Amino acid sequence: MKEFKYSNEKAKKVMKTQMITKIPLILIASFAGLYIANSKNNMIFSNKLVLSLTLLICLIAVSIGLFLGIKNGTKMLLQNIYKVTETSIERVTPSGKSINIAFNTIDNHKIHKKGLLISAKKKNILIPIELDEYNVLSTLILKQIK
Amino acid sequence: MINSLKYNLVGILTVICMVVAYTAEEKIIKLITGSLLIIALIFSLIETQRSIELSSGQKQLSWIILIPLLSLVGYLYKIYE
Repeated sequence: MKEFKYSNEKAKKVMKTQMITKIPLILIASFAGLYIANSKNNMIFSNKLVLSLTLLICLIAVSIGLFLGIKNGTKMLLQNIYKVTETSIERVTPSGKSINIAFNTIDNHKIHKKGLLISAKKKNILIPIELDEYNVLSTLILKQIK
Repeated sequence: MINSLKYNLVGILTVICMVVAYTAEEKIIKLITGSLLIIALIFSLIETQRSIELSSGQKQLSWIILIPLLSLVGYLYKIYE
């Protein structure tokens, strides 16, 4: 049996990229929150001190959120383990549950931009391209499927 | 990229619902957007609890959604009281 995991650096890089794509939404949500808070009595935008303090607190909260998001997301990615035996592939998820697909039950496989997607009856496993030794794992799986 | 765009669009729609629910003047509009937001929050909570991708700590943390959910329910109830 062989095990494949994310390396610490790659997991961090993946999470950073994911968080960067979420920044516009976080900013939109923050400004929407400010707009709602201001809509009642125009308290925030009419007073420069309150506005600057609110913006500063928002910025700190968003930064802490992003930092914790990257940290926890990296931890979560590191808990993903892909185990390959001669007959099957198993993915252990961060919740501890696992998805197991036997090679002889694979209906379909596709090489995506994000990695190799293996589908069996009601089960899917995506082998992410960022995984350490992705090429070794995908070659091993493709060889078993053939 | 397409998936992240889809999730961002769903997020933006949710934010729009939130702004409209809290700032609109028409009661019926508040009720419609507020109800959509309540459905989105409940759906999000259920999906998070059912997900096998998240650790138990993250699942426990997701119960925090109940705070905005209950506040929204209370807000809508107060309007129609």
